[in-house]
Amino acid sequence: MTESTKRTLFLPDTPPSPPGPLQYIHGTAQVRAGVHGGFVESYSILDSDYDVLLTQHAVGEKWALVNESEFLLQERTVRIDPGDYVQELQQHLRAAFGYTERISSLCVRLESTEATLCTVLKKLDRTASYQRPLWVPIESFAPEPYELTKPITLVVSPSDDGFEASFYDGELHASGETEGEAISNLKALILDTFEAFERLGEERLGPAPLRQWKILKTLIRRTGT
Amino acid sequence: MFTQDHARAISKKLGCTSREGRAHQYADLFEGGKLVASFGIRRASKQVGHGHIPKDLHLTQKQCWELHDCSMSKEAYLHHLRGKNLV
Repeated sequence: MTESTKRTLFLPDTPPSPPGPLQYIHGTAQVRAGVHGGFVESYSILDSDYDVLLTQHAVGEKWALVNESEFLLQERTVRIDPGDYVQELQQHLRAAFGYTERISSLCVRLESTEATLCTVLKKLDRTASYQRPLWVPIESFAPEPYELTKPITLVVSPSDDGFEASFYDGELHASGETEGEAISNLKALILDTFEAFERLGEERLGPAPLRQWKILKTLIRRTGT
Repeated sequence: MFTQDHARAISKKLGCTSREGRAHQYADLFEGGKLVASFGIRRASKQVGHGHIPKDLHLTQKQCWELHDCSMSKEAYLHHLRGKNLV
């Protein structure tokens, strides 16, 4: 493992005088610094063995010459393992690239989350407007030749792919793509069931159909042929 | 989502009798000479929802899929109906 020496130059807080372009040469190091109103604005190191630490910054336009005693506050010698330095640099580069990739990944995830959120909000809106069951009073089977002895209430609620209308007293249910279609299908189902049960007769009805028939025959009456 | 294809498959499995109606074709299940369950199959060219079938068959959604998917046999279904005093 090779070791090298690196020195750090500490610049003074106080301005060099007079203001203007400055150049400092110390041993093998050449340092240029910009000053404005005496404060160091920027610097460049011509000798890579030196690292310069600035203590104050200001926007400057002029350059000033300073002598060594004004410019160099103190000099420190540190021992640096070049291998460690390279490794540290690699780590910094990896971290920087990793950070960029992570930000990119986060942006993609954010966009995806945003799209999902929009979909969920739309569904919520739709659900809020659809979820409430509709109570629909039925007073007639016109133009079918049947009449109701008293109005019945159908309940229409959204289902997988449309709507479902139910006549709970008669244990009868029908589906439709719209509320209207579901109601129309259920009204047809009620009359079809009434006719089928009437044709079969009570002796051929099992427990559930018999119960349905007893309800239907109290509600429905034939008006014509 | 239950569709008319599922409804027809269940009807075939249970050996239902077919009956024509106004808006539906009906599948009637007779047991011991008596009608014990019935469900309507909508007439439509495309596949449409038949969410009413589980209720008509006195089953839950899950049980109805089991009946369709063969994990519930006709005998098991009739046993289920007997348990509910529906046969």
